[in-house]
Amino acid sequence: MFVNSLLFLYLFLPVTLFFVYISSSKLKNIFLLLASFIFYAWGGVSNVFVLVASTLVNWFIGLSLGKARTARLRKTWLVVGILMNILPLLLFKYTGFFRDNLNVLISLFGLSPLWIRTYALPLGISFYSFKAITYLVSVHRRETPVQRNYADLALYISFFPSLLAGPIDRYRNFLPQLHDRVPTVEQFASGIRRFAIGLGKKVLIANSLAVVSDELFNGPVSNLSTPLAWLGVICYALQIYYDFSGYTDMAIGVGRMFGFELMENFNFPYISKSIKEFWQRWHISLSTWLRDYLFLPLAYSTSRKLKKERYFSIRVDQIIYMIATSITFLVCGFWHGAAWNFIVWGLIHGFLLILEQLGLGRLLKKLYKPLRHLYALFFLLISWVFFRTVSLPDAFHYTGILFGIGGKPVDWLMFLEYFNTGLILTIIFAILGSTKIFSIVAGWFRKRTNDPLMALRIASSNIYELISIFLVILILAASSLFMVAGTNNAFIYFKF
Amino acid sequence: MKRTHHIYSIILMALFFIMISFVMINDLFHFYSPPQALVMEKRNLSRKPIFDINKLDFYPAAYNRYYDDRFPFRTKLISYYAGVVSLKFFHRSPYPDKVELGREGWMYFVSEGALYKGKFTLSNDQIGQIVTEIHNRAVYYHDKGIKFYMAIPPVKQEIYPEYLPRNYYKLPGKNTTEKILDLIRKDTLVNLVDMKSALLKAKKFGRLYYKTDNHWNALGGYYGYRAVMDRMKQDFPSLHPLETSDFTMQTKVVKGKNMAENMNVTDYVQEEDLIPHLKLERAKEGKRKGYKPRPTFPYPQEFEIVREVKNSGIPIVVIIRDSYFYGMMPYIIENFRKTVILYDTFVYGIFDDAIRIEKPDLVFYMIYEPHVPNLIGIDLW
Repeated sequence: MFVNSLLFLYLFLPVTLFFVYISSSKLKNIFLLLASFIFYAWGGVSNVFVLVASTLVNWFIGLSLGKARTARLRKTWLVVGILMNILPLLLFKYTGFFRDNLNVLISLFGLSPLWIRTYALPLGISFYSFKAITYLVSVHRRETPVQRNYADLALYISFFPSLLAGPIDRYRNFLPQLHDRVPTVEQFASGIRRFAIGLGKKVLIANSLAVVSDELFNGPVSNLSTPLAWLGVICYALQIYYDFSGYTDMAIGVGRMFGFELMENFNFPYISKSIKEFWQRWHISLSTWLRDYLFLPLAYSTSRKLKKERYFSIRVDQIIYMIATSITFLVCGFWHGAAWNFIVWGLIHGFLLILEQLGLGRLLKKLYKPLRHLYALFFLLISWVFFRTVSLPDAFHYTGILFGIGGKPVDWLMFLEYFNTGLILTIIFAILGSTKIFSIVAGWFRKRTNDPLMALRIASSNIYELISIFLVILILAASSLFMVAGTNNAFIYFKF
Repeated sequence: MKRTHHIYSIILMALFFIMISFVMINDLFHFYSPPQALVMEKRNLSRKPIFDINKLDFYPAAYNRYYDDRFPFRTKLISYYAGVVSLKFFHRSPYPDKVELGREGWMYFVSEGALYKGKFTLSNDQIGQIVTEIHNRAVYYHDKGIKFYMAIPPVKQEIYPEYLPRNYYKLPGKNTTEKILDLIRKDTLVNLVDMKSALLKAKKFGRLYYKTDNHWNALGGYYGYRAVMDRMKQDFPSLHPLETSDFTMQTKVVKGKNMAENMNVTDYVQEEDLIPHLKLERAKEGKRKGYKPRPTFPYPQEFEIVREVKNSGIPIVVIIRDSYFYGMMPYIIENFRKTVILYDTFVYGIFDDAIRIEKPDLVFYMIYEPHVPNLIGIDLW
C-alpha cells in the first residue's frame, strides 16, 4: 500500500488509529503489527511470507545470540544473522545483475549464456533487512537486550510507516518506545502536520517535477540540448529530494500519531557546502548506518593490518580512510540499485569524499560560501545523472551534453516550452523549500508568540496556529484532489 | 502559550479526523451515492472484489481500483482538477501521459505522438505481415474484378506539426507508417491515395483538423474525399466529385471534443465545429442487408450504413472504414449509385457476403494511421 493513496489516508489510517487507540496497552502493538502486515500485503500478498520469515529468522538468531556463552559463538551467530539478511537481498535484488554480467564474461569465451532464475523484488527489502541487521549488531554489542517477544521484534522490523522506504531506525531508539510511549495531543498534532507536509511534498511537488524529468530522461539522450539536459537533472534533483523526504515526513508523521518518534532522515541536504556535509544531511539513517556498521568496522580492521605510519608517503590514517570510504560508497551505490550506473554514482561520491579528506576540504573552507555551495551542487547534479539514467553509456552521454558535447543545438524556444505556470511555481517553491527559508519564516512567527507584550503574544500565537491549521488542511485537501485525479505514482525509493 | 497550542492541537486533530473519516461515514450512511464512470473512461466502475484465498495476490489491486472508483465526489473532483487547477491555472495537461498540449489550444494524443515520433516501432517482419495482409485483400478483390482503393489518413501531428509543443521531436529515419506506405506503393494491385500530401496542400483553404480531437473536421474530410475521388476518377470517369461551391459550411461553437473528454475538461475548452450543408442532397438512406459485425465489435449499431443515389450510370462502392470516415461521408455518398459502408475498425477484414450480394465496382478501405498495426492484431492504444 502506498501512503500517498486514497485507501491509506481515508481507510487504512483511520481504521488503524481507531483500533490501536481503543485497544488495551497490551494489544496496541499486536494491532500495529497486524496493520503492518496488512499494509505490506497490499503490495503483494506473497511478499508477506518473505517479511514474516525475515522477522522469525532474526528473532530466532537474536535468541541464539543471547544464549551464546562465548564471544566466538556470539560472533558466529552474528555472522549467520547478517548472512541470513544479506542472502535474500542478494537473491531477490542482485541475481539478475550478477547473471547478466557473468553472461557477458562467458560470452567472451564463446560459451552459451547461463540461465538463472530471477525473482520479483519484495518492496522495501533493502530497508527492513538493514533494520534487522541493526537489531542483531545491537544485541551482539550488548547495547540492547535480546528481544524475547516475537511481536515486538517483528513490529520494529515491519512498522508500517517506515517499512517501505525508511527511515532505517535504530533498534536502540525504537526499543524504549515499544512499551513506554505515551502519545500526547501535541505529538499527535505535530504528526498530522508532518504527514501533511510529506504528502504535499510527494503529491504536489515531486510528482509535478517528475513529469518533466521523466520526459527528459526517458526520451533519447541524443535528442537533448545542453539547457534541456540541465533542466532535466535539476528537476530530477528536486524531485528525488521531495519524493524521498516527503515519504520520510509521512513516516515520521504517522509514527507520531501512534506515539513513536522515528529517526530524522533529511536536514536540508541541498544547502550543503561539501559532499561530506551532504552525507550528513541526506538519507541520514542510511549514511549513519553505513558509518556505524560498515565504515568504522572496516577502518578499524584495516588499521590493525597496516603497521607503518606512511605508505608511498601517504599517511596511514588517510589510506585507511580511502579504503573504508571506497568500499562503503561502493556498497552504498550497489544498495541503491543492481546496475553499474548506481555503482558509479556511489564511487563518484566516495571519490569526492576522499578528495575532500585529502585536502580539497581545507581548500574549500577558504572559499567564498556561495562558491562552496556551487561546488557541492555541481557535483551532486552530475552524480544524479548516473543515478537516474538507465544505463552507463546513457549517463556518460547525458553528462557530455551537460557540457555541450554530443547534444542537439540549443533551441531556447523549445527550452522555454517546458515552463508552464505550473512548472515555474513548482520549481520556485521547490528551490525555496530546499533551503531553510520557510523554517526561518515560521521561526520568526513563532518568536512573535513569545512577545513580551501580552496582547501581541496572544494575537500572534492565535494567528500562527490558525495559519498553521489552515495550511495543513489546505495541503491535505489539495493532495487528495491530486490523488483523486490519479496523479499519484510510486515512490522512487521503493525500488531500492 | 502552551494552552493555546494545546487547544489548537485538539482543533487540528478534530478536523483531521473529520476529514479522513468522512469516506467511511459516507459508506455507512450513504450521503453521497457512488458516481458513474467518467465519459472519458468508457468503462463500468470497478466492483468490490470477492475475497478468494486462492487468488490473494490479485485482491489488493482489485480493491484499490474499487475504492478509488467509489471515492465520493470523484467525477467532480477530477473535473475540477483537470479543468481549473491543471489546464487553467497551471497551463499544463492534467494527463500528460494521455494528451499533450500544443500551441494555441491544439491538443495531441500521446500514443499517436509515439507513432509520429518513431518511438512506436514495428519490426521488419511485422511491417511485412501488414503489407501482406493488405496485398491479400487486393488480390481477393482483383480476382473478382473489383478495383481496390485504400487511404491512410495521417495523425494530425503530420499535418499540423507547427502547433506541436516545441519540445516535440521526431527520431531520425522513417517511422513505421512511412515504411509501410513505401512498401504499399510498390504493390500494383493497391491503389493507394496519398492522403498526407493532399491534406498538406489543402491547409491553405482552412483548418482541416479539430484542435481538441484527433479527427479531421468536415473541411479536412472534404479534402480527403477529393483526394480519394480524384484517384478513383482516373479509373471511373463517370464520377464527378463535389466542388466547394456545392456546399456551404456552417460554423458552430461546441464543447471540447474527444481529447478534452479524455482529460475531462469539456466544460473548460471550446471547439469550432464545421457542419457542411449540401446545396443538392441526392443520396437517400438505402435498405440495409443486415451484415453481421464480429462478435467483439464495440459499436454494432453503427456497423452498416447504406446510401443510394438514383443514377444508373455511376458505380457501386463498398467501404470498409473506421471513425475517421465520418468527416468524408456527407460528400462521398453523393457520388455512387449505392454506397455500403461497413464499420470494421481494428480489423478491416473482407466481408465475403457483402461483396457477393452488393457486387461493387470498387472497394475502398479507409484505415486511420494509428489503426494500421491492428491489421496484424497490434493495438497502439
